[in-house]
Amino acid sequence: MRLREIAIRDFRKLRNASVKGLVDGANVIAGNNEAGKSTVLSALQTAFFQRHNITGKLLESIQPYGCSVRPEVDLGFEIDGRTYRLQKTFAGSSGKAELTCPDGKRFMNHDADRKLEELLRFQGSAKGPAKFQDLGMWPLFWVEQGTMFQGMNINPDVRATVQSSLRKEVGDILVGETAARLRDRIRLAYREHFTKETKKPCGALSAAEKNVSHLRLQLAAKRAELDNFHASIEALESNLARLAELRRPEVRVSLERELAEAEEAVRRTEGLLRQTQTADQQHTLAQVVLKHAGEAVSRRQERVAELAGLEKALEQLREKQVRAEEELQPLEEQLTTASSDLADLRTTLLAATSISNAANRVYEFLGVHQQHDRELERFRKAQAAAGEVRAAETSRAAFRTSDADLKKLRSLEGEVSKAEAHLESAATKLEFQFADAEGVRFNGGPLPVENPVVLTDAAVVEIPSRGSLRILPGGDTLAERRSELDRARSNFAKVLSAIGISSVADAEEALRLKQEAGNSLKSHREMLSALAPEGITELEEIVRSLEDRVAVLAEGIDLTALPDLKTAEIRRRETASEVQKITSKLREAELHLERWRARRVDAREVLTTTMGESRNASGTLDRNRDSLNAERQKAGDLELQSKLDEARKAEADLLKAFTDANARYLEADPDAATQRVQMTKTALTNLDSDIQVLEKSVERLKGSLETIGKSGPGEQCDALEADLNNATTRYATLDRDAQALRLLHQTIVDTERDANTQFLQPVVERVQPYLRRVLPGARVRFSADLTIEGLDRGETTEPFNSLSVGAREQVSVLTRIAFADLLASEGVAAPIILDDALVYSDNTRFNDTLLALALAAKRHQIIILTCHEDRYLKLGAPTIHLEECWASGVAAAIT
Amino acid sequence: MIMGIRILHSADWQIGKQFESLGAPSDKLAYLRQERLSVVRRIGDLAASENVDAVLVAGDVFDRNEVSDLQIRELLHVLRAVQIPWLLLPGNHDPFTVESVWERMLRFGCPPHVHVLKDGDPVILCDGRLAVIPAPLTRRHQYEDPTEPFATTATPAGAIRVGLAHGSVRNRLHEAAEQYNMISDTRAIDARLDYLALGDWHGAIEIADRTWYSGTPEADSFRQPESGYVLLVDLPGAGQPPKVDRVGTGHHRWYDLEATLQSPDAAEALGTVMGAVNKPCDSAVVQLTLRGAVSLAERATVSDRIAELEAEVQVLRTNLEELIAAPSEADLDEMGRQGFIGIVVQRLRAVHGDASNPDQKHAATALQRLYIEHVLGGRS
Repeated sequence: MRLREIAIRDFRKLRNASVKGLVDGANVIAGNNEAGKSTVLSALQTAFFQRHNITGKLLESIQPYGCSVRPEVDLGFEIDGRTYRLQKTFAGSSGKAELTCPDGKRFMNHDADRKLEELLRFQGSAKGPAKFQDLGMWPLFWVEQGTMFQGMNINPDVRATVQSSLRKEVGDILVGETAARLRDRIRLAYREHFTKETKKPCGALSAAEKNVSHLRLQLAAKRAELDNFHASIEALESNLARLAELRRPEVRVSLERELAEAEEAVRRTEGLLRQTQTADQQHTLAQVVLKHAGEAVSRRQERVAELAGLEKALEQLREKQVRAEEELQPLEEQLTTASSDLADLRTTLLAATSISNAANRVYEFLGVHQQHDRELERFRKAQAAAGEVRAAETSRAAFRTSDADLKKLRSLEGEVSKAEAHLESAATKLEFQFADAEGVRFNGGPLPVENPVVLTDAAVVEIPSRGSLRILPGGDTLAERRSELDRARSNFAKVLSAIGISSVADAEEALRLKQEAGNSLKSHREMLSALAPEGITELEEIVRSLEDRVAVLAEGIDLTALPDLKTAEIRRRETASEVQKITSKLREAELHLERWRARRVDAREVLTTTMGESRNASGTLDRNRDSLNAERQKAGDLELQSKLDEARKAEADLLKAFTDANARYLEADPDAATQRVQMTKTALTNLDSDIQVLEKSVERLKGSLETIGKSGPGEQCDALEADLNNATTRYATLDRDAQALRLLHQTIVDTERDANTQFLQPVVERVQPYLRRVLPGARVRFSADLTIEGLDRGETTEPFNSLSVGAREQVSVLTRIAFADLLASEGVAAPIILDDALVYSDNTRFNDTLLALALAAKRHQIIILTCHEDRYLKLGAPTIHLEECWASGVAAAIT
Repeated sequence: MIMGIRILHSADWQIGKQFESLGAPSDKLAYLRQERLSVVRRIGDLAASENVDAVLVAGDVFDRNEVSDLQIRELLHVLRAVQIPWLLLPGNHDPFTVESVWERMLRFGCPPHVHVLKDGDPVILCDGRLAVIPAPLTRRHQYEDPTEPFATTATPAGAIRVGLAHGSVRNRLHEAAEQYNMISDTRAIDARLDYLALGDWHGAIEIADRTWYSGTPEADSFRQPESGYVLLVDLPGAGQPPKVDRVGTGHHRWYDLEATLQSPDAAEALGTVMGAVNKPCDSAVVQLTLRGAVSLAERATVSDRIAELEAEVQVLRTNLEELIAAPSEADLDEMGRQGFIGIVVQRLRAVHGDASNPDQKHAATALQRLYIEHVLGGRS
């Protein structure tokens, strides 16, 4: 089909408009928003595919808003190069349709509608409005605004037509109806065994698998229980065998016999032990005797030796005494000489000391005398200064006026002035101006000199021959003020009198003089303080004390031949030095003497000690000798030695007896005998306790086994194993069938997918030349129902809905062109109408798509409705401007 | 005139056996388990009707020592009802150990006519005319011959000496038999026994002179066709040979069926092998092993027949691992060689032929399923 002319009247917003000159190839119909581009497409859809007598909402939807006019569409088009004309007026039952065929034949109304279905290969609606989306291949190629990115509308008509075309190329390899039913049955059966998403076992297969696992666990637990049961039986058997062994009479008899023998052995060893102990005691006694005998001999020998030692010591002491006496004699002589020297030195020292004391006294006298003179001078100055101070104090005391007095006087003077002012403020000024003042008297006297007169008290002016004039200023109030002034003046006078001055100025002068006297007093006092800081009385005492000291020191001094102080000082030092030298020699002589004395003391002490020791030694020697002789009379030395020899022999004999007895005792192994008794007793005790323990264990095990054995653990084990085997068999059967079903299902799915791929290969191949220009490296993938699944890019497939909106509308446009190519071979040549189809594409992709459209335009009529006229300039297609076609029509319709 | 003695010889009741190796549902196994006790009732009835002097049970009365008290009490209940001496010998499944079934049975109160043979002391019955010398096992495996003391065991003069033991007779059983509890094959002669009643071998057989295995009275294995009997033994007198009759007591018949199926005669071959199961089949326990290669169509038929058989018999255990189903030309024609299904079939066959493919073992079943779903419309 090729559209040539479109005339529209009273269709929605279009009142009267027509588009002419549509050519083969690309056509661009441009218009601004609301210009009616989409209305043109709607008018075409309505005219071709809706019956002329449509009513209701569909009719209302194509009528101008609010008008009940009859929309009309008049179309000129060609099919297979032959021209048709279609005129439709939509007005319900009054609607009309007229189709004029190339041969001039006209089809009217319903005939026209039916003829259109035949020509355009669609099945119209038997009743009511037809859904455009279901009408043949037309919705695939006539794309409404804003729907391009949604993919392609593949309705059954399109699918059948495309598949018919593909079968001619590829052959019938798709799933047929029978195979589809088979596939569905297999899929259903497969889904009973495996989940859709994870493909994991489910349903009966999963239950069987779980049952096997569950039974395995149960069986394992039961087998463990059975093993425990068997272990308990083994333990019971073992315990019973052990119990039987322990209960054998021979066991106990044997142990008891062993105990008797062991106890006899112990008794035997105890006898031997007693023998050994007796021998030991006897031997110990012999040892004591031997010890005593030995000690007696030793003691005797010691006494003899001691006596010899004493004699020798006494001899040595006597020799020592002689030596001490010989040493003492020269010491006495030395001591006498040293004492004589010391006495000489002491005499010399006394003389030197006397001379030194005299020199010291002269020196001290001179020093004190000088100090006395200095202090006396200071005292005299201080006395003079004290006189000055007293004079100053007297002078200052003459002035009685103080700062407070002056302040008070000034205050009282101010109060007098204030009272005067107060009185004067109420006074009356009387000014005399008499031409002849002769005889005029004032208060009985002549007129005052001052004129005018200020009156603060009653006054009388007598004018001769005229009478008198009594003037009374202020009345009672003035009297009060005058009284106040009088009090002030009185107070002021009292204070002046008390102070003894006549005025405030005198008071100020007196105060100034008082301050000067104070300053002088301060100066004298400072002088006095500097001269006698300790106080003049104290200073006087010092002077007096020095005078006394001078008097004392002057005694015994030749005052007539006094040296000066410096000479006295030198003399004092020289004599002192001499005294010091003599004193040093004296000290040395004393030490020398002391050493000699000490040596004499030592020598005397040695002599005394030696003499004492000699006496003591001599006494001791005599006593010891007497004592030894007395002992020898009791027992002689030989007798003692004989007793010692006898004791030695007795001890040796008894030691041998003890050793023999002990050897016999040890040979009897007393520890072993005792241990044997203990061991046997323990064994007997253990035998009883073991039997008790075993009996209890046997009872416990029997009880436990009886309890467990009731339920038949072995039987339960076998029963569980039977269940497990059955479950395993069932699971194996189910699994085998399920796995076969899985394989079958997968094979069918794979086969179907491969068949679809193979079947749709021609479509894909037709898309590729266009797609390569816009999306290099991409390959479109279709599902079996011809919808676009996505784009294959290398190893990955990008789902259609995941593509950008721009890419989706590009792929949709290019795929439509491919379908148009494919269907053209089926004799279906529909114009491609795109209503603002590429609004989301970037410029590069847009231009690439435009090139594809230009290529397609060589084979197909393409009508582009757009508000972006400039973007399509490169297409090189004739452009029809909607506004030029029906500018008045649109406006009219809108209004 | 000295009266002879009649005894009933049985063994290997194995009460409490769970048949766990069958891998069958527990409700099916319950029948087999219950029959271990039912057959004792039948033995009691037989003993009563045949006026036997004693029933000798040569070991393995219980399947194991760890059966429940209930099993023991149920057996006691059955034995109490038949006032004939029951001589119960502990075997290798139920040796007389501490806390064994026997101790428990004695604790529960054994009636006087039920003798638990816990030691080798002979049991003198029939007023001294019958001396039963037992050889109870006191542990599961004994390396010494348990019947060794028989020769030296004194019995009343003139009494018929009957040995009662459990084990494998030396030199007489194949190598697969137990290697423990070995019994001399000349024991009956050595010990001057008139009859040696043995247990352990589950088939009824005279194993040596005057020496018999009675076998289990109720079959419990596919490998032992001579099961399901007791021996009615007439002992005319000391030193005289016994007269032994085998009397059937079994309820369940165990069939171990095997067949190799080959197309196109698979169905017929399967029919033939299944024909071996005697009617009625509801007491049959069947193990069916099929091998060979069949078409998908025949494999579907085989499945149908097996399903039918499973419904008929008591227990059916199948082993079809070696039965290979491969699409025949006819199968391929039916499924379509071209088009979508044809491609699926080709792919599955490729998987089946690819040893490196982990799904190879599932491919045949997948093909079979495809066949069933596609050709048979889901009927298998």
